Amino acid sequence: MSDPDPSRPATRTGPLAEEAAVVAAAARGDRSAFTQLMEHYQGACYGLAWRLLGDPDLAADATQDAFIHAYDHIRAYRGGIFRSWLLRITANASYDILRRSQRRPTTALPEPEEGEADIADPRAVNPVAESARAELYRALDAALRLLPEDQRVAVVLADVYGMDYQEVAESIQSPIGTVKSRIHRGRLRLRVLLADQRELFEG
Amino acid sequence: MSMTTPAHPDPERLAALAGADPDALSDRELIAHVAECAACDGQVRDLWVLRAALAELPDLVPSRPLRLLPPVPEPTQSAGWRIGLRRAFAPLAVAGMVLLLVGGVGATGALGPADAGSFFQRIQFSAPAMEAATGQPEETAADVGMAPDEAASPEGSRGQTGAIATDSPRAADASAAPAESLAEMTAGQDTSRDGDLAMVEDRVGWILAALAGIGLLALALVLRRSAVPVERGSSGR
Repeated sequence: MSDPDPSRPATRTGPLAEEAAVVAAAARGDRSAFTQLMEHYQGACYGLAWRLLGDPDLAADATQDAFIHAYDHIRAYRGGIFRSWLLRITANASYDILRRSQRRPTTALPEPEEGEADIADPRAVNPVAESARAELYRALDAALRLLPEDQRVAVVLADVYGMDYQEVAESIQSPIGTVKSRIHRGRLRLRVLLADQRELFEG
Repeated sequence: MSMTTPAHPDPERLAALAGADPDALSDRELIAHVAECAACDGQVRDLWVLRAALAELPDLVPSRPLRLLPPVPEPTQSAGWRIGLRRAFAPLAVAGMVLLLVGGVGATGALGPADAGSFFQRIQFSAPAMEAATGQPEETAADVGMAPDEAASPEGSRGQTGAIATDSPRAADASAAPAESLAEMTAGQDTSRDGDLAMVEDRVGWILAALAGIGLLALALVLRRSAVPVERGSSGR
């Protein structure tokens, strides 16, 4: 088992510097600009794919599928938050793989593989606090892996990656009512799963 | 004294409220209950904290280096040349088949009903014509002047030449009419040969077309073979 290394605190990828200009260049066919975008967001896309699929290889495949789709459709990008646009594509690619593989795990998904440590945060200043936070993230990922697949997908898309109901419904091609129910039941189940680790949330 | 609260709402409604669901936020009854019920309020707070923690989950490092760009589908000069050859296969093959078919049919006369088979028929008819002219099969014409009694004579032993025939009156009689017929036959043969040559000349175009068709088919097959590696190379992922 190689859970995220507590000595390497985690972070989330923020917007790229002068992102709009880079996206515009990529949309004009500048391959180096597109590469710059993908390099910047590959951790975000891979993280989403891994949390949806629970398999490092499938997650890498989904991420690459998403990059190819993004390359083919970047001219159709109409502004907004580029990260969200890319994450929606990744979610769709992951869900396609999930359906194709017909994997329906109802128990724990595999633990993260070697090399899946969190991206280092150069802003980390308090090792103790960061260690506690890394432990919280491990617990959350472990609890997510225990959710039924339909609830896990909905909770990951909505609560981890901030998609609204409509975006989740489009990604998993389900009615909004179904999506809401899955999200709510998923949250309740997560709360039960993490009930004996409440101290992690108090930091 | 604690206030009595109505029945607890569905937990999913509490989860919706923790997620700031617009429907839940507009549910006055739900809001009022949570405000008065410590258990439900605690549950909503737990769920809210849980959501906040989930929203902070970090990005992950890919388990393997990812290809960030799709491969460029620009064919090399060699590949472009091969693709061009492969594309030329079909039209060349079709053109070859058409030329071969039309040329073959034209050369055998099937395209002209009036001339159908006349070339070969003339070749077949030339031998009977000679028989009719000589009164004998062609291969026995030299034996015309050889009577059975003369065949035993010393001169008769020389007798498969025209000179022997002139020595015999019967042979002279027999040879007079064939001489005329042979002249006619020869003239007929000349006419027939001229006709055959003219016919061959007429068919030269068809024959050449058929040969060109065969050539095109062969060329198409060569091109097809040269394009095979491109097909194999482009199928893999």
